[in-house]
Amino acid sequence: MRESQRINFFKFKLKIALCVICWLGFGAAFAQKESVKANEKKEADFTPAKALELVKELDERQRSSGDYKATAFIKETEKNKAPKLFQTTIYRRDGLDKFVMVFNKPKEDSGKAYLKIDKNLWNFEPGTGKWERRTEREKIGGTNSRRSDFDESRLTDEYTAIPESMGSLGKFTTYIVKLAAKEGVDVSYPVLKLWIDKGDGNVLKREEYALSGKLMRTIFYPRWQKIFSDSKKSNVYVPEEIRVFDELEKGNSTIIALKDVDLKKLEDNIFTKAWVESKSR
Amino acid sequence: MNWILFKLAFRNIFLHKMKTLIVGSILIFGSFLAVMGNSIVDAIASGMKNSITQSVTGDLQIYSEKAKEALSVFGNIDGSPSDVGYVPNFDKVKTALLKHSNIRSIIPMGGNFALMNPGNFIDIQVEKLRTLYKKKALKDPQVSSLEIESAKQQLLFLLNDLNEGVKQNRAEVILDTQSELESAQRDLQIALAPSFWEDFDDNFESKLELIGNKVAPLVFDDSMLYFNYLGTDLEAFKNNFPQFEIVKGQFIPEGERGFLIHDYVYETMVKNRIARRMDEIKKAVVEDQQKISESKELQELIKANKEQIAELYLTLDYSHKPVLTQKLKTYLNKEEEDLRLLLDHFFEIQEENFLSRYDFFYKEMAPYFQLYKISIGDVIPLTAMTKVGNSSAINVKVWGTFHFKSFENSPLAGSFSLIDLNSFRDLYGFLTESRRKQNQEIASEMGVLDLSKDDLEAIFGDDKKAEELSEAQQAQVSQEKIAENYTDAPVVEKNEAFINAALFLKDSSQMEDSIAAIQEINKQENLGIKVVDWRSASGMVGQMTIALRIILFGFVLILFMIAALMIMNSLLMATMERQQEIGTMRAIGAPKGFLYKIYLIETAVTSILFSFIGTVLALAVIYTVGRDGIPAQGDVAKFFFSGPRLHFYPQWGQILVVFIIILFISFIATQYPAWRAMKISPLRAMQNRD
Repeated sequence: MRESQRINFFKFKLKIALCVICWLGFGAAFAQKESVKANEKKEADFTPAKALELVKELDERQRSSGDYKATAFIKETEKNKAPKLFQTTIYRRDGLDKFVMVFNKPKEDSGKAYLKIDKNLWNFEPGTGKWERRTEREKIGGTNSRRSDFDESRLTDEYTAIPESMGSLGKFTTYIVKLAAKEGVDVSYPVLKLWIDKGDGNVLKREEYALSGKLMRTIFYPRWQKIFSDSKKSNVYVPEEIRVFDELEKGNSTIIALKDVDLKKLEDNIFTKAWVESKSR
Repeated sequence: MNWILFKLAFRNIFLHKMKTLIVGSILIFGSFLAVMGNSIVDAIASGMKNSITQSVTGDLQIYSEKAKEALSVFGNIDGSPSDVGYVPNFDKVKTALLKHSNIRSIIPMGGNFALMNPGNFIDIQVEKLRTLYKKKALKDPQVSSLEIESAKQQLLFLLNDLNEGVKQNRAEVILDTQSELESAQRDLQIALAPSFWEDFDDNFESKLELIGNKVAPLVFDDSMLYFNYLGTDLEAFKNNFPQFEIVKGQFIPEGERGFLIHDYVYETMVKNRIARRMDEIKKAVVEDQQKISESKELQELIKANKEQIAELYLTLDYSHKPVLTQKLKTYLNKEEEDLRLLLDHFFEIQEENFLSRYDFFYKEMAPYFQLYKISIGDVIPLTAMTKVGNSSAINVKVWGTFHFKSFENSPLAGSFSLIDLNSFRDLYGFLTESRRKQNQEIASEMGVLDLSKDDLEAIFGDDKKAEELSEAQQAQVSQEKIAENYTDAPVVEKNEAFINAALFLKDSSQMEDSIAAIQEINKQENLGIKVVDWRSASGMVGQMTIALRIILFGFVLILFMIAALMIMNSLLMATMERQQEIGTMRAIGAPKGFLYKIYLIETAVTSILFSFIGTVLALAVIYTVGRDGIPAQGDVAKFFFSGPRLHFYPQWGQILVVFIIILFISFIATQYPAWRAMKISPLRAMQNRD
């Protein structure tokens, strides 16, 4: 009798365990299904309009509307070579699309400068006192950085946003947006892919592609700083650090560090060849 | 006994006339080719040696023993200079090496390339005007108001032409969209308005910036020039390379900095494209006897000239426009007043009118145009990428052009221009001690750590890791840490460094001994150099004669192998046919050695006779054609021939070698048939008789 009781009790325990397993199994499957549904919903929500909105928001957050001055350090590390380092000062008048970069250090490069007015990117060589036209693909100081790395974000003007997918970057949930250059716009790379933080809307990672589809550079923006702009009457987001990895020459990388960012109004004559030349003297 | 052997051998030769003739023909052709080919290849090798050693390498070249690549003075296959590092102390190396009695001189040098990008026609004129205004502001007595006025008028002339270009949608105007067209018209209207020029002198900066930024980008720009150059001690270069010769301008005075452009580069790259095409057509028509009506290539050149008249027209000095218009009207017998249209008519070139128009172009028109992008005496800005990785630019005066006598127009010898050693060193950008210290300071100020892609992914995924990295980054990067990064970077006092150096020997036939001696001196004095002969230093170019010789040797060897097989086959056939005879000889007591000797003599006679005929024929050609020389077809050939014709002479030593090789091959080819013959038993003769 006791034996049969023990067997019944065992069967009972077995049934309970099976029920628990089934419940857990169904629960997990249901949860997974719900999660897939949620992701699908998320993906479904990620429309071209949303992608455009995100890119517009990126531009808006970085737009200072007024002037901008910062000290930019550039460090280029190439395989088997001594690193190259530069200290430069950047002046911007974003409303008029004007840009000046003057090299301060090392002294051999002091006085070299880039001046952008409208679609013209000029390079000044103090060694010759001459100006030369350059394109947006110019490697700044011979490094793997481009002028656009130091400029405000104008993605909406330059590119068409295409939603790619939802993704994650470490612990961050991100929107992945593909950008294709608009016709007739001179940009460094015709195709971009951005990882935009779902939480705060900042770009965390950027991949830049050639027209052939080849990945050329991967850029990380690990730090952003917020600075209040009087002209904009709100905060402007500025990357503190930009890390560029060359995908063609693996092992080569460039670090850009932006310091002493100042959004106060600048002198009008800064964005002229005459001022740059006087600075180089 | 010997006579019998010869008689038997000759009888066999005449018995198989056809086979002997076939074998003989191959031997004649093979020996002819070997003697003649070797003579020609030797002449080319000697020409190349002269061209290369007398234009750039000297007899030997030295460069750093730490070089990452082998030295190639003509550059790598992709055109880049070979990465050979540098030797830090020229004086020390020179003093040490000149102790060796066979070294005559050492010329330091180094190769690099630089760009000159003056911009389009309007950019150049805007820059010219800015410079004049700046000089005037500095009260430069050489700048007159008249000169400024003239430069303004020239700019106005260009702007007016551009305005017409926009209206007519000419090829040189870049306009992609309707909005660009509208904006161009608006900007040109502003720049051409009389009010714009009224207060030009007072507001030249803003006016010139408007033209430079709004109007100039409308014009197509392909005026960039690219120069491969050799930095060297120019005085020593001139004294040691006897075929060096100034063509235009003058040699750089001692102690001055400067640039000498190779005349080939000056005529093919710096010269106005329309004039270049006229020269090309002239060369094809006069020298190569080509007909314009039959040559598509020449017709294309004429078409291109007509389509790109702007390239010539926009170099015209505006003040000469009326004179030139009148000249062309008279010459073409046209009433047209528009100079552009007259030029369009002028470049309608046909077979009948070409030579007359060519003469008119150079005599009557050329003086009014800027025929070269750079004039002798101009100070030009050169920009080069330094070895440190950034760009470096200097202004350098063009003193003249040069070439090397005998191969004046060779693209290979013309592959480099010359610059003084100090300017070269400025453009090369050595990593100096001062630069290294500055790099350390900048890195310290920057205060960032090098992170890999994985580290960065970690920053986004792991707060703790991010915190650690952040803390590390916040902390001042220690000087020691930075210093570590630079320990591999070579440091140099730039006014002593050289990349490579040409060595001239007193007796160049002692090259191998001199190389060994230099290596010994290098070891003893710790100079840090390696030495190579001119052939190695010239890279692929220097290896070409070796390649030619290998091809020739391979071809001749194949021919001789065929001859050997034919000899063997013919002797074997003869053996089969003469079994009875051989058996009989064996039966009456002829030893095996007797038979072997018959075969050997038979082959030797055939080989010597026919290879002699081949050699005599080759010598006849060498003495007749070789003495007059083969004309060099094209400028590349002139470099390899080291002149306009290739003269070649008999190489007696090599003729002897060819003879020995033929005899050896024949000897080998005889062995098997002779062995088969010796194996024939006397019984065979009797069996066959039965």
